[in-house]
Amino acid sequence: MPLERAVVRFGSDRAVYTDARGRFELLVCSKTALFSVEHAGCPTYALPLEIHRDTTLEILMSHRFDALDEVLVLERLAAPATEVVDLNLWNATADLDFGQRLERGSSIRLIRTGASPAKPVYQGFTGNRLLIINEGVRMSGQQWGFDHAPEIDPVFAQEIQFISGSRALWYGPEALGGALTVSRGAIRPEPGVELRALQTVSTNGFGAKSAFQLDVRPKQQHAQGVVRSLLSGFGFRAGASVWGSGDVHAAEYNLSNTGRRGLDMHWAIDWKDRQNRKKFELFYDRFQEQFGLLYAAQVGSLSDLERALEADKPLYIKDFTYHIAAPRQEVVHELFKASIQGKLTGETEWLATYSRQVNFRDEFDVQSVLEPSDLRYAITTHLPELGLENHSGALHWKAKIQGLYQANTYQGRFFLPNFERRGLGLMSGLEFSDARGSFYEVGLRWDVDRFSIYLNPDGNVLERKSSFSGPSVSFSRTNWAPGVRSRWTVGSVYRPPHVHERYSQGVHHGQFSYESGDSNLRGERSWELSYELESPQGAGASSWAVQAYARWVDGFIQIRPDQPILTIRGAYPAFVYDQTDALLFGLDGRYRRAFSREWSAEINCNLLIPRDILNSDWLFYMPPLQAKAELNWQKGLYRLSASGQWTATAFFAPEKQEDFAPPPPAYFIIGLDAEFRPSERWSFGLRLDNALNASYRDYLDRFRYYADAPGFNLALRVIYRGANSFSK
Amino acid sequence: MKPRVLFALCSIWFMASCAKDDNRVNNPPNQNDEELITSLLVELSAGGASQTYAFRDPDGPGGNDPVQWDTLRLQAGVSAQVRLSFLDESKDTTEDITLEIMDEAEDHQVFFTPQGVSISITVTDTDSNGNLLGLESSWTASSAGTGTLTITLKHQPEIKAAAPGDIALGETDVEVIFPIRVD
Repeated sequence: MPLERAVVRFGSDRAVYTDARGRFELLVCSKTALFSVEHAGCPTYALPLEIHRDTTLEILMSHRFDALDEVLVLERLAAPATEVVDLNLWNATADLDFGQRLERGSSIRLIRTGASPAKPVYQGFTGNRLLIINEGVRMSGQQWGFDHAPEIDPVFAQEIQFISGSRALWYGPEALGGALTVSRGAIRPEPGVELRALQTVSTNGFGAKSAFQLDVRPKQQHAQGVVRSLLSGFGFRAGASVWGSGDVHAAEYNLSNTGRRGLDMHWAIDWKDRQNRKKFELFYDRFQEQFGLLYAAQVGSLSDLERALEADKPLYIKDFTYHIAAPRQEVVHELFKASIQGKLTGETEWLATYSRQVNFRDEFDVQSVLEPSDLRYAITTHLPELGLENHSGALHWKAKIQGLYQANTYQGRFFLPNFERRGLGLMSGLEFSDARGSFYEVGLRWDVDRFSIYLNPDGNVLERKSSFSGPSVSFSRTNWAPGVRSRWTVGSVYRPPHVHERYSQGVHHGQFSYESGDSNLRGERSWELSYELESPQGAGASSWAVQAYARWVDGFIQIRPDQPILTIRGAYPAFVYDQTDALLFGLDGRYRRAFSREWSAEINCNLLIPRDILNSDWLFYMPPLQAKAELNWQKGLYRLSASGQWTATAFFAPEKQEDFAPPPPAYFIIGLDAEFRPSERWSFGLRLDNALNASYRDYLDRFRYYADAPGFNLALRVIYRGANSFSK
Repeated sequence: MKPRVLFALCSIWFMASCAKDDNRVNNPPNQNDEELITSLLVELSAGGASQTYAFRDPDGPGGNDPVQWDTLRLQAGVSAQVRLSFLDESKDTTEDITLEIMDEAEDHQVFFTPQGVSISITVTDTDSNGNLLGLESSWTASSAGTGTLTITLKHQPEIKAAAPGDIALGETDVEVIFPIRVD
């Protein structure tokens, strides 16, 4: 009998479900990859498969037919994670940084600081309100600053998802806006070697990126002594990337001092026992980057700012150079993770994870005549976790205890004090289906955080202690009707105020502000209501998804302009942290359609209405309305795509609070991409960004007061992915 | 790849993780150690007598308001020689930043912008490239009145313009608006 709603995968491509007649169709490139069919109640069917032309496969699954069948199927299908990027187009952006890659063809928006750091924003939330989960670990660096981008090299990232509700709560208490997960994927599961390599060059900034990643899994040895059989379960991975570019060019002028260079190295080891009952993993990644900040954005006084705003191009433009001068930043982020997983019983698994992250950030200001007094932060985070997970029938239950120890130290100029944070979190999640086929997810979390702040205003160390705790809860219900999946989510999430919101004090160079924290801030509490509708993927020629959400944030912490302070540079803009009640209402929509075997198109649109309730105003730095459209053509070894992105002016920019300049007008930019895959191993591509070389400024760019966004760019890439199986 | 090579690679990667921060969290540095420009002194010499006026904000940006902000006084028709000093008075010992400005004279220029009063100002010192510097100048007011005089020290690395200079370039290190009275 036909098997409906089995999950069919080929390699890392998008999975599809079988229809009511048990049929599926996958559009894939010519390659060799692991082909798998999963269905609750069946052992997973998997084999490596070589596909060169249109192929029809008939697969017989040994399906255990019983009364619980349908419920089990639905549990598998719930998949509340949203794939945020189209993996078919993922290769096209291989040369870009994490934020820029996410932005393509998705609802992710970016807060930028000129050409270099780009910080993802999802549904209006960023920084401490949006968790970023890198290889299963909550990124803990200095995500507070607008000019601090996530320290992730995405070059071989395979799985990028947005998760919300109870699944996001699983990772941390601050997931007001959900969580973005990114991973390079598991080490090659079959014996053999697999090499990925990449080389790109781009014309804007005359930059290049080189990268490789090698997976090795030794041949399975048959029982020949304990040592050999132990060794045979290992898999290894090592990889590195290096990138660099000089000054980026806007449509009409050079953006002086916007060069960057970076290096990322990672390795991983995993081990599985023969019966797949125990699993052990080690992972290490070191990300390092230095980049310049647009020199023309270094204003010392309000008069400088006025002159910069009046000028139609930056007041400091020099010839192109690879040299990176002050103001510049240097960032190093290390992530080490060890995890071990085992089975208690047939249905219960335990998982212990320890991760350590060390984050350094050096900010070099233009110092003029004064002694160089750079600002250097080092923040170390230890995250031990112990979890239990139980699958029994239609019920999936999990619980976790999570510890956190974080220490931040600074050297040089004062902006943020030394602090320690000790946290303990308890989390429990439950997923089950009822008899009518609805699927439920419940998550409950409780966090306690203790902070010790160490101040030294005049040579004597003062310690300030504070403690915050609160519950977070999320509930969702998913229903399937013919042709549509719907999901309700209600929840409430707690976020303790961060140290930078309470204790920062001083001149924030590059942002032209004097910032003061408020040590009396309380935590934020958000109340969420969200409704999603989605057509089943892979079924029919068109698919679509709509999400409407409303989030009420009680005690929303924001930075607000205050009376300018008087300094030896004249009046200086001052900002203070305070709290308001915020209401964010939004609508995200996506529509895909395949017109023929060759042609397809996609439209993405997101609208956010961010209201500051207490001040009857709009919230600061929230993404304006945006629509993206993409037209794709694919035939044989060739693929072409054209994209257009239209961003409205910020209708919902604050009216009562003073911004230095009004929001910039709407803009439209066009991109093109062409790809040629002569074999399953090689892929060659060419991409044009801002193809019409438009001059524009983006509302979310912190340097929009001073200069245009980057202009035309042509990027070329060569990607290699080859595997050699030892068994041949 | 040979296992030995792979092992060597892994050990390099792994050793990189040993970098540690040696700064102690509960022993933070003094927040007041940063070098600042806190004071601008204007020394006016005319007819054998000299008078010093000042703007002083000894705790730097933020905190308390400036403690001294004098009104400059000139005699109409009398030419005055002016010398500027920039000081860091936030520490126990005062540091003269003027010397550092003279060391980096090619990257700096002082601009004078009178408003409401008619004063002719001639910069009398130059840097090694022959461009104006502005630490020394000569002021002559033509008629009595009150107004303001803005003194701006600009940092113009590699972009300093030939005389009379361009105030629009570079970033501001100091900008003090002095009230001024011409008798």
